[in-house]
Amino acid sequence: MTAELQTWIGVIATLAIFSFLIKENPFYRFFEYTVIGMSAAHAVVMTWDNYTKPFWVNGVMKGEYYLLIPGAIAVLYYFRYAPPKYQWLYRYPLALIMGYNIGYSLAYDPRPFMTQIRGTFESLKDLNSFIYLVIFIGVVVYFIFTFGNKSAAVGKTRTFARYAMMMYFGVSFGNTVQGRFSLLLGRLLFLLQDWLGLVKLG
Amino acid sequence: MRRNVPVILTTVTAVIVFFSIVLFKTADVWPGRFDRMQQFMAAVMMFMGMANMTRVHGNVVLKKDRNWIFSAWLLLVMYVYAIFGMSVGNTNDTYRWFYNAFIPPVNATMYSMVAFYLTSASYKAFRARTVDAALMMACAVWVMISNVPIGDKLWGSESWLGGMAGVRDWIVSIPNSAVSRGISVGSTLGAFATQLRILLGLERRHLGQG
Repeated sequence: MTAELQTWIGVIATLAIFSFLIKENPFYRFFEYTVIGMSAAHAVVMTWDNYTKPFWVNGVMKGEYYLLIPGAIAVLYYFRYAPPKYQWLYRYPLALIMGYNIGYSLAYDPRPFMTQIRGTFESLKDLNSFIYLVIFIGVVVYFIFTFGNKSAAVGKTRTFARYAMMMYFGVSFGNTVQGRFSLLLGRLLFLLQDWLGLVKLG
Repeated sequence: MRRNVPVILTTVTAVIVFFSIVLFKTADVWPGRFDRMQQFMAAVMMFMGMANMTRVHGNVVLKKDRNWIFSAWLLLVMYVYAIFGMSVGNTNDTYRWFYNAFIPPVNATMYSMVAFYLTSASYKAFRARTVDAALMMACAVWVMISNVPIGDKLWGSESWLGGMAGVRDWIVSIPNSAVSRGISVGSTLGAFATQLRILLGLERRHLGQG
């Protein structure tokens, strides 16, 4: 299978997806469903190659038999789709995974969190660092006093924090728009340069 | 057995994992083993996504709902590609050929198409009726213009305050960074509170109990 054929498939797929801008149509839907199916399969293949197979071959087969216990419990998760009478069994692996993640998170998360807070107060040396601190405290106040506080000071702080957050969302929006337009130019370049050869860039 | 045991299991596992990490300090024998156990569990559960797709699209095919032929095609593609990939490995040339032919072009086009919808959405969102909307619009427009050559033509980076790019860099590194840190601290506090609620058995929604 040649690179030309791959380019042609890419071109047809690109045009099919762009055709949605006119109207939803079977051409678009065919590629949409194909890629959803392939993406789901690819996720399984990657997990199989990177986790399941290595764990089995280099773990269980080499004497780490304790892995069979969580493995057997994990199988119970598929009871999510069993008849209602047996569905409750899926809660056991879920409970174990939640427990693991909570324990892990409570042990490891406070450190970077506290480091960030300390870093905010540590270097108060110029106007910018004070502006930083004021906005930071405002935003934290905004989230802590989400409900039920009628104090005027808190209300004003929350309004100020909302303005700061709007600036943040504006910057994020601007970056997102530019990122998407950059992708659009990439697709147009693929059609005009790689396929039709009308443009020569780079 | 159905309701309380999973809650107790969550608490006991969390306490054991927490103390194993705190007491052993580094990823010693037990923290490492717990890590491997959790990863192996996730690896065994990997077919859950495919099982869900099979259930949803299988129902569409069985009921001959609208567009059922596409659902049948999706299931065919998914199973053939998964079985092929699992038997030859993800580094196989043919496997990668199909991946590169379909997935990157469609994904990139899907994301790039959002540009058209963003344009119309921003027209609706950015009619500066309030201070909030005006601030958001001003920052978005400023960032977009300062990132392209015309921004430097309007207010060059050699001039006062570093021009448009200088002001943009200040917005990104001071107010934006402070808000980002504030949001991350706020969300960490929220996550911490939720974790404690689960640990104490007060929050059971993840187990399907309201």
